[in-house]
Amino acid sequence: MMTDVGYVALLIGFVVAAYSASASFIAGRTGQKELWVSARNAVWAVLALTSLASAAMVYAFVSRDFSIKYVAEYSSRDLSLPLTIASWWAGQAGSILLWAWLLAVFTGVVIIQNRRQNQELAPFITAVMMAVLTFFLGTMAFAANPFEKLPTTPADGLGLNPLLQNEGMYLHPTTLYLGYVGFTVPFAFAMAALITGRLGDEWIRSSRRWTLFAWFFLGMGNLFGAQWAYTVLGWGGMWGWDPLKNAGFMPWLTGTAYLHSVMIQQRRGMLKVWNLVLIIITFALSLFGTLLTRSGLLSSVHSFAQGPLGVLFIGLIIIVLATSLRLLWERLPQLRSEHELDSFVSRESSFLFNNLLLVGAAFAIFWGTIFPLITEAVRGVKITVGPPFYNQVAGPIFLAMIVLMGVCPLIGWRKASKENLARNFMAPLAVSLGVAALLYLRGIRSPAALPAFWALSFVAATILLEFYRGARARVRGHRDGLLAAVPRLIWANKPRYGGYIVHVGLILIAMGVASTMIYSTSVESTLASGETMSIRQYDLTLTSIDQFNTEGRQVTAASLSVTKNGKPDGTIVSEKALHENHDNPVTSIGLRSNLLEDLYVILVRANDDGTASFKVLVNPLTTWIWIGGAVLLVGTAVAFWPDPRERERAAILPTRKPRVREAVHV
Amino acid sequence: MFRLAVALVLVLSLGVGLALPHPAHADNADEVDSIAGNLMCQCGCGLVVSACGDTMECSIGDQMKAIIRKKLAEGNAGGEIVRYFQELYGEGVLAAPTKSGFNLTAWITPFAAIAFAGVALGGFIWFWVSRRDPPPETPCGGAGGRKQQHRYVERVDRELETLE
Repeated sequence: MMTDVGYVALLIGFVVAAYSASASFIAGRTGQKELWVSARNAVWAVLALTSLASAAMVYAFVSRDFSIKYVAEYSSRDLSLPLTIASWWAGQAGSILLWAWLLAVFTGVVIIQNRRQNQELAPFITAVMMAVLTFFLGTMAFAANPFEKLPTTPADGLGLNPLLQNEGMYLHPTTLYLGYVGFTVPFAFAMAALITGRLGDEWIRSSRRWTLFAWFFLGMGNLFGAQWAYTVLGWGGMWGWDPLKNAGFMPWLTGTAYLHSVMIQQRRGMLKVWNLVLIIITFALSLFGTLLTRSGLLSSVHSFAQGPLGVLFIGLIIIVLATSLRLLWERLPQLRSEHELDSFVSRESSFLFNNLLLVGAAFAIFWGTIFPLITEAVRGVKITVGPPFYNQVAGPIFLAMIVLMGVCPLIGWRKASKENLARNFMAPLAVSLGVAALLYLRGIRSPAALPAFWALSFVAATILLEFYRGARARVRGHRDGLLAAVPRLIWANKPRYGGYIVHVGLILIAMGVASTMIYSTSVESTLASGETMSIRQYDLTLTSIDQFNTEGRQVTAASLSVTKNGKPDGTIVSEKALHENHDNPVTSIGLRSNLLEDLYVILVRANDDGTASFKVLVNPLTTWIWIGGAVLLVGTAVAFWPDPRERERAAILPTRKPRVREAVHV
Repeated sequence: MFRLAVALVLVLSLGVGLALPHPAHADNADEVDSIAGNLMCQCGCGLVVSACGDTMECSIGDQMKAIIRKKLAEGNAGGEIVRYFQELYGEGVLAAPTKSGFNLTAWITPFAAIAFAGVALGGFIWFWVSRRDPPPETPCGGAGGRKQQHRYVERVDRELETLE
């Protein structure tokens, strides 16, 4: 019964969403108020219908309705309730339903937010969002029905993949999808601006928080994915550069470029075309990421033909790109820059080069992701593009990006004088060279590590300098104490200092990644009970191997007593678990973290002769990756925080009139 | 300011320096891993050999690691071992494209694209800057005027910094 309700809700939702998209567009074009009211009401109806379909899906999982193919494929009776609910997004059709539901919720929020503002843009924003939603609802209704029934109902389901049975299943896919879906909103604002010709800052200002929201969640989705790989996959690394990881990373990179370049448009009225191109690419990459996440599309060129979903998504991406770029082309005469660059050495130029590197990195990853398809098509040979390629190609680009992250805030807007450069660069350069020299003397001379740590300390010093100068100015101007001045400084200019805090988070993440990648130490050994293996300052002695059954799992647990620098340091346990209905055992790593390093123990296998084989790693500074994520959250929250003065500023700012004579396209 | 900079140097270098292993201990004890990291496991997991055997019990990954150990013990270099696997399984066993023939485009294209875009961007900025009107003559001549102007520029810079 609920399955029928769910499917019927999707079908009706498809029709109503299509109506809402068309009605909003016509209302926007003709100004028919009644039609616009009707289109908005249709949005609420679609939200109710997609919520009903989602509730039906959750109900089917919770009630163990294995007559539904999707429920039978991704859950089983022994699955805990939270994981049973999370199975909703374990497969392709359910993920698309989650996408559609989130988009319906976002559309509702956008309508509420724009009740009294953006009156001209709102119908077209709604039209674009509802058109995208129509596609997703249509896909479920006609190509990937999450409520498809099986001819016979099995007694139990196949169960959730054991690798997904952990906390990562709640955080990683949901945050990733919040990011993917979130980018629909700034894209819809951009399209509305192109359709209406209201191409000033209005659409950027109004969609700024949505962009931050999508960017933040996509970033956190990637970070949660890395943490999931680190703690669950159990190979000691966190980023395998597989197509799915790449899929989430590419729109994040172009989204980062967009977040930076819109600052130039807001300040100087420049880069209007470029900003539109960036948000179009970011949204297209979000769709591409959604496609890759559940379709396995890149396993072979031939898989394009295996199901209709790949073709549908490719079709959507082509339509999105063709339509938006056509609109952009038509509006080019109105997208002239209001100012020109004053100097090669200016913050605007440095932002442009920062954009170049961000988009270049996204392109390098995209190129690596699709290259196996290209070689298969050109040479008939399937090759692999794995971690060694990305580390060698993306590594130098990221290093340059980090350096620019430090350089950009040091260069003044419009034109930087020699004095300005000398004054701003001297201290950070001295600090970073000092750090590099001390590290060199300490024996850290890896050609990968030394430039990385120099660049990171350079950026850290520039950010600290910015805070110091700002705080000192407040001390002078407001007679605050230096320590009290810092939070007040942040509060007084939340977007700017929130951005700097985000940069601090990124530095910490980069430091952790660089240390772990370059200086991870590992040993492998097979131990009998009582035998010891050593790695750096740790000695690990196998004390016991236990086998037991629990919650549908057959577990083998190895306990090792740890000594650090000769002193007892507790016990660490690593497990292998064989789940019912699954052939491959899953590793549960033993992990001990502190601020300096992770001791990471993998039970490779328990042997028949009573011995056990282990791989043990010591990963330096890994914890700082997760701390960096928390700092990122704080920085984004600060930048996101509403400021009552924004409206006042917007009201005061004069409307810019383009200097047509000097105008050029960017 | 100077004290702050010195403190920063010490904090950063001590923090990082303490955590990273000293070169005497930094060499990865398992050379097998570095070679296995360049090979894809043939069990279909989509992971490199160094990762596959740890994640799941994979007999193929284990065998590949065993061969790497044996070949290393026989005195083979890493490159020779990788070539051995390439002859055995074909090009698909390599975790990255070779740097020859058509595969070279995989390596060159990203850098070529960035270099091309960088040159174009540089040229564009140069064009944009050079077509601007030349700056007006300095209104205050003489050393005193320049000094005064310099003071004003500095003040504007300072105030802009606090406003930004």
